[in-house]
Amino acid sequence: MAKPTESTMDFPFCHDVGKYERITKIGQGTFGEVFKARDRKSGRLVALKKVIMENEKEGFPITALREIKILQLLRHDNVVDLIEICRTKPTQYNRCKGSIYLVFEFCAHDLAGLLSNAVVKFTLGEIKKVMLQLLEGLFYIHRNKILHRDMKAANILITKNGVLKLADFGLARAFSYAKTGHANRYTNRVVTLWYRPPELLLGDRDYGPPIDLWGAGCIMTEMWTRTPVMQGHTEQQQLTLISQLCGSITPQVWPDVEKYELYRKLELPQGQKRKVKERLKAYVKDQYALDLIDKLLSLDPKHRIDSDEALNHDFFWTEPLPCDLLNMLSQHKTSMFEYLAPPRKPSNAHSSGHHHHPRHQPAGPARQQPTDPAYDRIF
Amino acid sequence: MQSEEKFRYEEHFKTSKFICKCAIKLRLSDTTLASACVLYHRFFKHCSTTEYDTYTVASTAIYLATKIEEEHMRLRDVVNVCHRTKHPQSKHLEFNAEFWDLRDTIAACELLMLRVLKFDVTYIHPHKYMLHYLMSLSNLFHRRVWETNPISDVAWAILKDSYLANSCLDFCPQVHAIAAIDLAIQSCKVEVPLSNKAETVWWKALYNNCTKETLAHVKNEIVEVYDISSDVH
Repeated sequence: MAKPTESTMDFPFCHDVGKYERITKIGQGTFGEVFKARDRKSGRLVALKKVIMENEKEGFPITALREIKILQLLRHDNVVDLIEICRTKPTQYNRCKGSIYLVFEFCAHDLAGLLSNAVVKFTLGEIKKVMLQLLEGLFYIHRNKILHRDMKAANILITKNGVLKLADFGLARAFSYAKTGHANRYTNRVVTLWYRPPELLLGDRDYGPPIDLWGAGCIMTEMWTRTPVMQGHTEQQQLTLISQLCGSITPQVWPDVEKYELYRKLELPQGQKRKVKERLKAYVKDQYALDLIDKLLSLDPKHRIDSDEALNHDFFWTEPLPCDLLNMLSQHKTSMFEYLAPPRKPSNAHSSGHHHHPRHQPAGPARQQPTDPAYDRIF
Repeated sequence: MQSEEKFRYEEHFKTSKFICKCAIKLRLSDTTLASACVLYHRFFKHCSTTEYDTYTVASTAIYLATKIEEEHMRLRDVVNVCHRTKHPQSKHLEFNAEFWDLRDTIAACELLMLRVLKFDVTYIHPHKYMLHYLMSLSNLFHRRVWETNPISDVAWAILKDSYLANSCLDFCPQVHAIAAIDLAIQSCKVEVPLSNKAETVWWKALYNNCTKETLAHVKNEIVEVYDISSDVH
């Protein structure tokens, strides 16, 4: 078998990434670095995401292939737009293996970046607009049989015009409803710990869209608390935090929970009352908002509200109605990304040990330090 | 057919057969097999067989198809099965330089294939249409006729064979499925009941955009695979 001699070839099929001028690094995705860049010809801003392949023994990473296939399939206002795929020339410096870049439309902010900046204030109408777009995005991807599997504030992008985009499909995959007698066996090692739903923590491998809606509930809460609500260090601790907020995990509230092996093996807090509304009402004054959060953070995935029902919830249909983010965002001239934001400092003693955000890299250029008391963690 | 063209047709026919054999040994589903064949044929629409070894490309197509169709195989297994199928007389591969070279070659070729195909590797296959169409048709037939004639099996086999030639790239999945069913019905020497009385012919009822011309064209292309196969050994 002959070895293809790639290094000497000119490729008409896939553009060289050199057509974009790199401006700055803006993040670290699940499987690669992300850069802000500009199209040298048109001046259009884009985000370049490098596919890391250095240590791949199994060829092109299947996660990257899934992300590409999924993004090619999805076309929606609230899903990030894949423009093209570029490559670099193979040289002796990269062992004659060129890199692959995914080229996305550029979005000015991510939700974690916005929330960690105290200057950014959301009105109730604006929060509704964020949640409305987030749920419309989820409704669309779930209808197309795609699970996101990495919902978190840092993966929710917002353009400077206030359009929300679900991003980072690096962990996403297609799903199907299991046929009787043939349970799906997906990996349960997905979703950032703080946003991971109880069924995944209990080892479920036959899960579906509800896992993304739990994340939506966490993000919705974060719109008021400004920081992730349940910041566990271990899976066991995460389950404890969930029990403390959502009540003990028992067959009474979750009829078939006993089917999970881990349910019997793990020590789960007993006798905890559900306190979602009670603990959050200090932050969330709107009754409809509290009710929707309560329904999104339902322990039993079968009872968790789905995106369609959530979009019909009174929260979105009572005054103040969802209102455009454009005005609010136009007051802020710089991009806000979690990756670029300074680490959040604990401002009181009892929150120490839990304050850091799960970023993959230390912070980039420093920006103004948040001083708002809203930065305190609540649990 | 011109002799050179015929030669190339036969060459691809042989490698497609090779893909089928490997797929059977790897116990791949029919849609993964179909994806592998489509990847292979599409690659050689852009690239020449004088520059790329057909069996390397075929092995790569199998490996990439298992990823695309979420039926992931280890590269090691694909290398071993393809090597064994290509060289049935030789010894099993050892973990030596040759093995690692083959592995690296397929990994490199996979990236090449993705780039040549511009990462556009999602296919809608005719298989699921065929299942639905056969379900609908079975209701039209008398139960005994349907049970004594292997229409479904023959249609499925014809569909599988149609991937041996690159003409399959041009078929629309619905018509592709209908053509295979129609050929199966003809080869079983039965007729769709009440065809002469129906307002809409059965294949049009199944897929409204299907025309007589396109159906005839696809059927011809599929039949051609069998003409070639009798010449190739």
